[in-house]
Amino acid sequence: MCRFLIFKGKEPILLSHLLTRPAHSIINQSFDSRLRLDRRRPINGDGFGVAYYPTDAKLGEDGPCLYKAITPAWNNQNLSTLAEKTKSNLVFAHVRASTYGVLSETNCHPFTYHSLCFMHNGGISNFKKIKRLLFNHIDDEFLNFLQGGTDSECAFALFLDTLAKEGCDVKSKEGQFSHQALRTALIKTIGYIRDWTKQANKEAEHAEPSLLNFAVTDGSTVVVSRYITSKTDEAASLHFSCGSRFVESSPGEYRMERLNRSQDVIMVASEPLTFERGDWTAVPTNSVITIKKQTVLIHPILDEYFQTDPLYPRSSKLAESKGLMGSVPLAKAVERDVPPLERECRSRPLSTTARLS
Amino acid sequence: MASSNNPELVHKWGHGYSIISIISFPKRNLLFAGTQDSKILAFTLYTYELVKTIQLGDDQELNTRSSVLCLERSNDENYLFSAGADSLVRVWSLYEIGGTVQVREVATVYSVTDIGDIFSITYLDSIQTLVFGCQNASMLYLGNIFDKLLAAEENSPCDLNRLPHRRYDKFFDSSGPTGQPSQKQVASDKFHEKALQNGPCNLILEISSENIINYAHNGFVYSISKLCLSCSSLLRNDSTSEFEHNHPHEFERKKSLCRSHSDISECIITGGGDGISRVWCLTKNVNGVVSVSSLGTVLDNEETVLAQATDFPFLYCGLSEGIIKIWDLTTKQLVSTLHTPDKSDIISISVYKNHVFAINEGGITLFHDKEVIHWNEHQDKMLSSDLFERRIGPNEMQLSFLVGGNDGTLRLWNLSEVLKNSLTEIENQASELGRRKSIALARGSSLKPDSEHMLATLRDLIGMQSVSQSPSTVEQLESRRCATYLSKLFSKFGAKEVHLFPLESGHNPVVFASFIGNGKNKQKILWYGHYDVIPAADRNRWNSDPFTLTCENGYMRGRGVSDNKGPLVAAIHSVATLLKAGELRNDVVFIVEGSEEIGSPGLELVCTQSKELIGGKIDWIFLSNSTWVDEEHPCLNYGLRGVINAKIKVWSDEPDRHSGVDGGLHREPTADLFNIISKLQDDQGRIQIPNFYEPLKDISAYDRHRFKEIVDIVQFENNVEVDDLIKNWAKPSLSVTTMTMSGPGNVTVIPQSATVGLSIRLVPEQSVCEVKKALTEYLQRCFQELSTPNYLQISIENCAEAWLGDPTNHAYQVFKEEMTKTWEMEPLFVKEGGSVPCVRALERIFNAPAIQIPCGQSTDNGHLDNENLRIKNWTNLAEIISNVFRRL
Repeated sequence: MCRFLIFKGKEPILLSHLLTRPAHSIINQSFDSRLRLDRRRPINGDGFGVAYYPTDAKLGEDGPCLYKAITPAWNNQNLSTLAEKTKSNLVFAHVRASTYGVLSETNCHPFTYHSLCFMHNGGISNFKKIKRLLFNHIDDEFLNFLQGGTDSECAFALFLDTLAKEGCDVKSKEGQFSHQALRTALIKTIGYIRDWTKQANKEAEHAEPSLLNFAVTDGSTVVVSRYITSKTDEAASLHFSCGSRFVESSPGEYRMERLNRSQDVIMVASEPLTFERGDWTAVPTNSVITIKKQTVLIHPILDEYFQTDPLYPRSSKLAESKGLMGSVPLAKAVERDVPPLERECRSRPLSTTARLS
Repeated sequence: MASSNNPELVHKWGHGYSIISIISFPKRNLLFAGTQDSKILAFTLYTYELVKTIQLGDDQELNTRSSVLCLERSNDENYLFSAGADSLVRVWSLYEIGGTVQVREVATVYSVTDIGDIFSITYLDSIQTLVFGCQNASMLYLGNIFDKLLAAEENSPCDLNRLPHRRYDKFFDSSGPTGQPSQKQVASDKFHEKALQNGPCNLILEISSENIINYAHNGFVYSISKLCLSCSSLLRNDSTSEFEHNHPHEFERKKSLCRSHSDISECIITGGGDGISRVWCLTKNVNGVVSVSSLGTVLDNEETVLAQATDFPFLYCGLSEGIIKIWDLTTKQLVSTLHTPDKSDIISISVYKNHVFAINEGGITLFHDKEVIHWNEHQDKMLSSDLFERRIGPNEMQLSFLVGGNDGTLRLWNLSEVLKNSLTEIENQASELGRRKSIALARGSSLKPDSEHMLATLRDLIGMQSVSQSPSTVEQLESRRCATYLSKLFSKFGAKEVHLFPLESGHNPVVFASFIGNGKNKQKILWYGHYDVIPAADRNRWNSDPFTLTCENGYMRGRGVSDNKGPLVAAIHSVATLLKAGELRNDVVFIVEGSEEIGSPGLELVCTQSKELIGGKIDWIFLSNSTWVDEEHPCLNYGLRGVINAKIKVWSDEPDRHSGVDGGLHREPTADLFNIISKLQDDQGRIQIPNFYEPLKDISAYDRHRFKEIVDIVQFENNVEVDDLIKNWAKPSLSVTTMTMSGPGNVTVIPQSATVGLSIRLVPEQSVCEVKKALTEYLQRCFQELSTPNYLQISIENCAEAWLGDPTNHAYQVFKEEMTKTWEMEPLFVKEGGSVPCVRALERIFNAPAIQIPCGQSTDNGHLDNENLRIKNWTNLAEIISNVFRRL
C-alpha cells in the first residue's frame, strides 16, 4: 500500500505540520501500519518522497524541491529536521510500499519534470503486458526521461506525452498550464491505460482492474484522480478537506477549522489526517478533483465504469486486500443520535483502525 | 459621502466564535445566527436580547467544530432550517408558549453519500421542498417534507428519548420582558398544527438516490437563490402556453377548475465554485411528486460564485476577487459588472430596490446609481449578511442590515439614513402615483373607458428610466426591467406568443408578442415601437420629475410620453381591448425594441433570424413615431429622410502644446480639420460631396400640390413657404453639429486632437452606402491634398435609409377615413425631415409597406425638456387604431 498527501494553502505551512507532527500523518501512518494485520504488504517501508514548491517565486521556477529516501520514513532524522524548518504553499508527499519495481530512490514518488510533479497510489493491472504498448505510444523524449522501472513512472511519462500532444510546452519553467489542459491530459492518460488494461486482460477471466489515483501539479494548479477500471469495485481511497486553517488542537492532534466559507487550506490525502468526522469528504470514485487557485472543482470521468446512481455500493474488498483503503481514525466516541455515515470507507473493522491510546 | 449619511449602528452583539450565517424572521421580530462553534443563536428585536442558544448535536466537546454554514426560513416563519459542516440538515419548528419563543428540532435530514459540508440551502414553500447544495458538487432535495413528517409520525410514534428537544431543554431560558405583543400562533400546515398540540418529535429522513443530482456543478455548490412562482413561470419554456386563450371566458373557468390539479413549479438558481450559475425548475406534478429539471440556462461568471441574489429579472452574482455580475435571466445576458473597492471574495449579497449591498472581508459596499458607498466600522472580516424590513412602530418600518463577522460580532445597521434620498424619491413617486390616481378617478367620467388602464400602464413605463444612450448600470437594469414589464403585459393581455430576443451586441432585448385575430381572410399587421428613451438631460429645466408621469391641463408630461412609450401603450391597449371583446379580426404582432435612439443596432439581424417565428407573411407595418406639423391638424406621414451621423477626427503625434512656445512650428490638427470640413460646402452652402445631388429628382407636381395645401391650411409659426417644406422634407442637408478638442480648452493651448460631428440627412433617391463612400473618399482626398503629417479618422456613428410610403394604398385610405371620423376633419398627408432608423429595413425584411401615424402635436418636445403629449391625441389614436384593426 502507498499513501499520498497534497497540501495547497493561501498561506504557507510548516512541513512538519503535515508530515511529522500529526499523529495520523502519512509518515506515522506508515509506522503505525506495522501494528496492523494486513496480510499482503504490512509496511510502507519502501521509501518516501516529498516535493514542495518554494515560497520564493524565483526558486519556485522549474519544478519543486524534491527530497527522497529509501529508508523507512519514520526513521529518517533528516526529514524531521528539514520539515521543522521548511514552509511551502504547495506540497506533495508520498510513502511507498512497492508493488512493482525494486527499492531505489529513482522508484520513489513524487516524480518531477521541469515545473511538473506527479505521484500515484494504486497499480496498473498486468503492467508487463501494457509496458510495450505504452513505450510505443510515447515520444522518445519521454521514454528517455524514464529512470526507474515502475508502472507509476511510466504513467507519468505517458501523462507528459499526452500533455505535450495537447499543445502544452511541458518544458516550460513557469508551468502555468490551464487547469483545463492538465485535467484533459490526466483524463486522457487514464483513458489510454484503461483501454490497454482491457486489451491486456482480454483473455484473463477474473483479471484485476487497474487502480489509478494520480496526482499532478504544475506548481499552481493541482489535479488528482480517483479511478478504477471496474464498475463494481471501489477505487483506492481518496479524501479531501478544506477550511480556513489547519490547526493543532492538542499535541499530535489536528483539525481543520472552518471560520468562513472560503477554502484557504485545501488538502487531498489517501487517508484522513485528522480525527474530526466532518473534516474529510471522500472524492467520489471515478472522478477528478482540481484545485484552481483556492477553489476545488470536481469532474466525473464518464466512461463505461461510471456509476450514475450516487448510492450504488461499490465493493471495497479489492482495494482493501491491496492495502489501498485508508482507515478513518476515530475519536473517542460517536455521537448518539446522528444518522449513519458509513459509506465510502467511513467505518472499518477495529483491527484496521488506527486509534490513539 | 457625508458623515450624516453613514448608517446608524442600532445594536451590536458579541459571541466568542465566527458568525457564519444569518437569517431574519421579520414577522416574529427574531434573528437567528449560525456560528462556527456549532451553535444557533436567537435574538429578539424587541429587547435585543439573546433569547436562545441552541447547541447542535449531543456532545458539546465532540461537536464544537461543525460550523453552521447556512440558515433558511419558511415564508410563514414557522420553520427554521440549518445546515453546515456536519453534512446534516436540521429542521426546527418555531412556536410560542406564554409569549416565549420555542425552537424544537423536528427532523434531521441526511444522505448516505459523503456530501461534505452543506454550503447552501433553500426552502420552496409552495411545493414544501428543501433543496441544498454540497461540497461534493451535488445538489439534494426533499419534496413534500411536512407531509412526509406527518406520515412518518403517524406510522411510527417515535422514541421520546431520541427527541432532540429533550437534550436542549436546559438551554431554553425564559425571556421576554415587557412589550411583546401576543402573537396568535397560526398553523399553516397539518404538521405544524399537530406539533402545536402535541409537541413535535424528531424524525430522521434519508435522501434517496433519485433526489440527488450528482455533479450539479463542477465545484462546491455555494449558493441557491429562488424566484417567486409567477417569475418562475416566465422563465420556463412553456410559459406562453399558460397564457394561451383565444376564448377568454372559457380560459377563466378552466383555470379555476384546474388550479389544484395542475403542476406547480418554482425556479431556483444555483451558483458554484466552477463559476457557473445554473437555473433549475422544481415541479410538483398532479400526483404530488416533486422532481427537478435543468432549464439549460448556464451563466458563466468565470470566477467562483459565492453568493447570489435575485430581483426579477435580474440575478446578482457575488464572485471571488470583489466582482459582482448582474445577469438578465430572461435573455440570459450579462448586463453589468461591478467591483468593490476591496478585491476579496464577495461572501454575501443583498438587493433592495436597485441598491446592491455586497459583503466581503473589506467591509460593506453599497452600489446605487453611480454611487459607491463603502463602510467598515472596525468589524474584522465580515462573513454573513441579511437585509430585511423591520417593524419599529405600528406603521413604521425600518430597513435593517445585519452583518456577522469572524470576530464573533453581529451588527444591526439602520439603513434609513443612507437610503433616505433615494428611498424618498421612490416614496414620492408612490404617493404621487396615489394622488394622480385619485385625481384621475375623480374626473374619470370625462375620459374614455379604457384610458385609466392606459394611464396606469404608461405611468409604470415612464417610471422606468430606459435610457439607451451610454447608459449607467441602473439605466441598463431599468431598460431590461422595462422589456420584462412589456412581456408580462403582453402575456397578461392574452398574447399567443411572447418572446424576448436578446441581441448579440448586448444591447437591450427586443420584445416580440403576437395576437391572433378571429376574422376570415384576416391580415397580419406588425406594430413597431420602442421602449428606450433619450436621457432627461438638465432636470432643472423640467417642470416636474421627467421619470414620473405628470398629468396637467389635459396633457401628460414625462420622458417618453410622446417618443415612444405613449403611442406604444395606445396600440397595445387597442389590441387588448379588441381581443377581450372578441373583436380582434386581424393578427397583430408587436416588435418593440430598446435601442431606437442609438440607431437600432441588431434589430435587423433579430428580425431576419426570427422571421419565421414573427410570422412569415406580414401585410402591413404600422408605427407611430413622429408628431403633427402643428397643434391643430391630424397628420398621416408618408416620408422620412435618411441620415448619416459621422465623426471626423484629426490628430497629431505631438502632445497638447502651448501656442507661445510651439505656435508656427507644426501643422496643427484643428486647422487641418477646419480646412477639410470647409470643403464640404461651397460659399453658398451647396454640398460638395461628389455626386451628392446627382440622383435627386425634381419634386413631383403631386407633392408640390400637397405641400401647397399644407402651407395654406397650417398656421406655421414663422411663415413657412412651400420651398421651406421642400428643403426640409424632400431635399438632403448637411449640418456640422459638434466640435470637441483635447486639452484644457485654454485659448493658448494647441490641441493634440480635434473632432467634428456631422449629421447628413438624405432623401429616398440617395443611397446611404454610396453617400457614405463618397463622403469618406472625398474627405480623405481633401486631407491628402493638405500633405500634413497629422492623421485623419472618419467614423460613422449610425445611419438610416430614407423612407417613402405610398399615401394612396389601402391602409392609408382606411386610416384617412377613420381619422376623419374621430377628429372630424381630414388628416394632412405630410413628410418629415427626421429619421426612424429601421422603417426601410422592416419593409424590406417583411416585404410589406409601412404606415406612419403621428400621434402628438408639434409642441411635444420629443428629445427636449418637458416632453409632453395631449391626452386627447393619445386616446384618439387608440380609438383610430382599434377601428383600423377591426376594418382592415
